[in-house]
Amino acid sequence: MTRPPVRQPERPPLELTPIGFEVLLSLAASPLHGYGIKLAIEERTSGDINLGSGTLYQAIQRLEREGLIAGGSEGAVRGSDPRRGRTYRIEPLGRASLENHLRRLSRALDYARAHRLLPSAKR
Amino acid sequence: MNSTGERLFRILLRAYPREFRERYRDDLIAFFHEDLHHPRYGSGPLRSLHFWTTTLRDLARAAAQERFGGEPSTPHGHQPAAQVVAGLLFDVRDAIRSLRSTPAVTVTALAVLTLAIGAGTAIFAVVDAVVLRDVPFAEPWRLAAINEVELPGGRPVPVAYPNFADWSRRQDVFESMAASSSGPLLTTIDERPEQLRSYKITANLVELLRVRPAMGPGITLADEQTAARVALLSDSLWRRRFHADPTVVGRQIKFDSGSYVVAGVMPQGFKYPIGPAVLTNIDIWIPLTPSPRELVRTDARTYSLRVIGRLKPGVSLEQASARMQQIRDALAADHPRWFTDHGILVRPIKDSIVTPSAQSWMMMLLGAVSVVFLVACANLANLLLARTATRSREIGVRTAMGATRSRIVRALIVESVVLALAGAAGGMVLAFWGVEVLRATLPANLSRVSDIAVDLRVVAVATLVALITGVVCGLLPALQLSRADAAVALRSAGRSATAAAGPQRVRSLFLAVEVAFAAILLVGAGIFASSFVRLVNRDLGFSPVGVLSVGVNPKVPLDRAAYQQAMRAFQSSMRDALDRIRAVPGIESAALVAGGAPLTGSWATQTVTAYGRKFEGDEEVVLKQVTSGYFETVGATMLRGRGITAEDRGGAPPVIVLSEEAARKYLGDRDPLGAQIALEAEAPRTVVGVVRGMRLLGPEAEIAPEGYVPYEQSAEHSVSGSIVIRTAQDPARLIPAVKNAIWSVMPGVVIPDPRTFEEMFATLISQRKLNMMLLGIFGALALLIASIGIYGMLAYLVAGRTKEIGVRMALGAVPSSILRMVLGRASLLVGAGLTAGFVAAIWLERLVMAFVFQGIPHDPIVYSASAVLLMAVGLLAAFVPARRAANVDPLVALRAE
Repeated sequence: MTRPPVRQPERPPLELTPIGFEVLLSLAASPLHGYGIKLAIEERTSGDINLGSGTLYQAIQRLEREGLIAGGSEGAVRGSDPRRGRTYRIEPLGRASLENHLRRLSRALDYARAHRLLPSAKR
Repeated sequence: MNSTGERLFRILLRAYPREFRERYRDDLIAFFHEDLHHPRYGSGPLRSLHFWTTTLRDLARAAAQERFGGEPSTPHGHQPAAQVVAGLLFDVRDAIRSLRSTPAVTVTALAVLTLAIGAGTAIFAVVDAVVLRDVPFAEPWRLAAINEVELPGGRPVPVAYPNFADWSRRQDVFESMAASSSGPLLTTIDERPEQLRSYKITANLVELLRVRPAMGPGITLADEQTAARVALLSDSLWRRRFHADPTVVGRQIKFDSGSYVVAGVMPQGFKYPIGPAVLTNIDIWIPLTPSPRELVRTDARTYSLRVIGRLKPGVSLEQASARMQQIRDALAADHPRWFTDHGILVRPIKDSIVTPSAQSWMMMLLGAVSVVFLVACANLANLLLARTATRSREIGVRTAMGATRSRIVRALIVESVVLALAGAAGGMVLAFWGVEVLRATLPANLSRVSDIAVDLRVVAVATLVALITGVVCGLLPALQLSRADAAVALRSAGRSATAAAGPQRVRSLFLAVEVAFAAILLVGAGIFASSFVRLVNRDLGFSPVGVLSVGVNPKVPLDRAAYQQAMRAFQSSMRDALDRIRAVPGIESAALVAGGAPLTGSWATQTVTAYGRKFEGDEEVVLKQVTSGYFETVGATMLRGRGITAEDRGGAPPVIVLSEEAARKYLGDRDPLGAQIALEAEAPRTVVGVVRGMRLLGPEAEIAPEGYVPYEQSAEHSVSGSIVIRTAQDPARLIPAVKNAIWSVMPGVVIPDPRTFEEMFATLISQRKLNMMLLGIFGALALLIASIGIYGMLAYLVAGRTKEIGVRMALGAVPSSILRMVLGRASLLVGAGLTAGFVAAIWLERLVMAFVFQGIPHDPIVYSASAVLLMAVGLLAAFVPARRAANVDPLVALRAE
């Protein structure tokens, strides 16, 4: 039994798990298939986050249930290869939740820099 | 790896809950395929290991979380199951990373394990199939073999029909009892006749084995009682001669001795009886019906039946045995003549298949290969000890940071287990190949040779042994190291390795043990090799090179007049055939021999009367009927007088040629030439020649007294005979021409496969040759592993003592003295191991003496050769690190720290 993704754009943004956040961030630019998401995360984090198939699809399942992303092979992306599995794209609620999360991170980062908790990016 | 890997992955996906699996299966598999090529898994043989451990770890964790709850964001879930699996997989990944960091040690350990597990698995596969495995029938533990035994002595022998009949009637412990015995060779009637092997069975045998014919009703009780001419075909015969015709049941097959109606076809793979190939390759099963004479207890006793029974449910073998003993005793009271020298034996059917000598041979091989395995284990333990010693700093850091002792021990054991399992995987590949070679090399008279295979059962045992090896070999360094005080480890590591004197001593001990086991195997190999050399160099008294033996079996009519006539016709046909064969280009000489050609294993004896004394029983002469040219053809040596010539015809004065031993035995000191001796009830013959005695049954046989009479002067010789042919060419290439020459004179006569004397000789010595080669391989493996151990040990020692050596050289030591020091250390180790090994070998020697030809106890040549070889290889292995030590630059060495 598959629960259809629930679309409620008027719902408030949701809290994200660390992996959920990484997945949404990867999908923000363009829709990707599963392994593409894994590679994007790996590249962005310089290999610090290395997802196996189980961990990744657990996260995907959760994001789909919450209506943050949607998967499908119905021509979601031009030129996508059906052998690579379903392609996932970010939903409005997902984008809102991601932006919400990023704003919070940005505020935290500004605070940390101001209080010299982080080495400054420039130097 | 793709298709197998994907299949495995698909199976593993079942770990996920159904909903998850169904939604994401295709995605997960697509992911799997792309991930296969990810560069982060590295390259080389460890790549797939790395990939799979990563994949499995991820899968186990995700599946556990999906099933038992927990958040994907928390990699270490709170469920114990998930935690344990995840922890273990973490250890495995850690172990692989750590093993990859010391490639030299890892590769060496893997090579050693692969070789030892490969050899061990191959031999175990053989022993398992031949000795250990039960018969391939339902509930084999309920099947028992019932034999008569000779009293005294207890040697199991076949059963007489009246006894089988009485046992079956009186017994109440078996569901049923069935009998079988070998049947006649059935010769097909067509262009090129073929002899089919038949086997006689009682009607209930197939049912007792819980087998059903693949088609047809099979042999019924009515068939058995009426001696119906019905036959069950083997699957291979059905395919070969009947092209798998589904309508074969009910058809007639014609043989020269009559025809049979097909009553069914047995399923593919059905074999009965179980045993060596010569026994199990049965084409046709026919009803076993006793002749009226066999049913009554007369004075003539014939023992020919193989009897089996299926125990009733709940009846133990011991109970059945006791009950059958009672029945036997009751019968003995009624028919004392039949039982004074015969007892009864009930045993598991498996025990009746392999002879005790073959069983002990198999166990000897298993024992020898176990020693190889022990050498490998000692080596592995040593490698791991050396490895952990270099890592004491890392362990010290871990301990200082709060790692518990059990955590460290677990990590080290996992490392060693991973190593052992990888070695087992490599060994299995080696074993697949080794088993193919062994199956082709093992003697054909060994039971169940064709069943030998590396199957799941063998793989499971090998994996289990590897697992235990890993745990045991990993435990030792783990305990040694985790005992070390963290602070000491932190301080001392990186400095001189001599600081750790304890491990050093343990490692020396292991190395000595390794050398000792290798010494035992070398002595064993030496015993087998030297005995084999004695065997092949033994003088046969004739020359087997370039001789072909062609047997000819004519059809034999049974009534006396026809028999005489057929024999005369056969004699003259054989003469013609011989003339034609002699005309074949490339044939130097040819002759006919009846009474068994040399090396074929068949022979016949007759009584001898000379100077009023009759020689009977053991003293009879081995008699052969030969034509002219026989002695030249087999390459015998005439010592005196002449051989059999063409002039020795039917009407000519009867003559005989004796062997040296026969002349001495029957004529004593008298001059044999011209002496008169009589065979059986014949008129006396004149001795016209003396020939050197021959080992007619092969190199292991003793020389028996032999007599040779002209073929045409013998009234009572066998109708069949062999033509022996000597040629300078490859004898096997003459076979078609020789067959055609015979068929042109005697069309349709059966010619069993012609064989060269050299082939027959090779068969006779094959088991000894195999033993020698296997023990040789085991010895070489042990030597190789031990030399790896010696090299590794000394290389490590030299590396650890570089500073000390530098100091010595700075103080004036010359390189040659350093070389001497290292080599001295090596010879001390090898010497100690060698001594211990020899002491054990002297004690163990007697276990293999039963398997060698004329073994010499404590053979000084064997022991000294083993010692020289082991010492030489040991010093060679030590020489490389020794030279490195001698080349140490004192300045560099002293500056090193």
